[in-house]
Amino acid sequence: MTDAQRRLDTPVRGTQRAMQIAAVVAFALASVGALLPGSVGRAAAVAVVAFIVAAPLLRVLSLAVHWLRVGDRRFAGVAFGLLFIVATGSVIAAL
Amino acid sequence: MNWADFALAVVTSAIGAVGGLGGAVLLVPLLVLTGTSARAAAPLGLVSVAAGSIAAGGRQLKGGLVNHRLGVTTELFASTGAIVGALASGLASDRFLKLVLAAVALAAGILGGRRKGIRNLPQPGLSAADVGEHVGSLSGVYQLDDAFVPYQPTRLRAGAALFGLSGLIAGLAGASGGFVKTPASSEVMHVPVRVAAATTTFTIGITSAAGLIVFAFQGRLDLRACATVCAGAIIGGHAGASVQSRLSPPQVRTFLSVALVVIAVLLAVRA
Repeated sequence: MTDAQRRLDTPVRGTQRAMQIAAVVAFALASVGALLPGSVGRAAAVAVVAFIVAAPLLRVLSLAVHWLRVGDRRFAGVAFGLLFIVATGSVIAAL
Repeated sequence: MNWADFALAVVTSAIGAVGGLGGAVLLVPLLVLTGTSARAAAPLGLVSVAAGSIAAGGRQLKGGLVNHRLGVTTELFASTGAIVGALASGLASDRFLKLVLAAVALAAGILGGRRKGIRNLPQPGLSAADVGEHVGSLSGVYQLDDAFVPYQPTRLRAGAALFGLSGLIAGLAGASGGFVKTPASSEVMHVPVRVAAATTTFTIGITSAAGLIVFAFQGRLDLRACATVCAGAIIGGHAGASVQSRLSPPQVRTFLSVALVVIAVLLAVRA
């Protein structure tokens, strides 16, 4: 292992707090979506599905940006590649 | 609200969290056995996985166990597999999906029961300041009690293939594939089990997102049921994590393994 490889990296600042908040938001939306009838409940159900899909992808995006900032272009490229794969899959599914 | 689906999501997520296999591998077969079609159950499984990943995310980050570079790299293959699996499942018959589910439950039961303990050894001279992942590398250091353990993933090609398989399973059956990912990381790539499990918790959320997008475009999401399962999975995940220290994970895994084998046989018979 080279010295460069030994350079430590810490997780994106605030991610832990963001994940805790995300769990609370997801639970609140899911509860409303499951319990409330009518358009409000349906909107919350749509929102919670969108939220649990978007949250991990936003986390990957934040990692990509963070890795670019710390000069790790190799893994920033991998992260953007992962988002590209998901986007491509979405386009194929939509066709 | 379907209280039966809610209860199933709570119980399976709690058991899955304690056993370390994830709840969806139990939830999806049970949904199918209680009358939900395999086509409808798979998206609910991925919702359960995604919710569990979000719920556990903060806790896993606190311990500094997640190796994000390893997770994102292996996820290239898992997400590709999930998209292919989800697209293929849209064309497959319900009988075929039931048989796939039976095979997945059987494999999860066998692999889950065979999981091993600690493989990597602490290295003197390392301290808390060394804990983390390394820039430009998949390597890292994690804390094990009062010691510090370095690790360097190996056999990346074999690992990548297994991650692709785990994604395919997630897309086809709606199970998280975590029961393949964690052993692939720990037993094949020689990543410490705790790092492998934490990183898997992070990546199964991404795999699920990739599969759920495809399911959404296929019109297979019952949004109310998704919300119900999501709420249940979050409660169950937290409950499982809180009782984890009071139960014996190996015993729970053994129970889960036996249950999965029985479920696999029932699914195969009914297919």
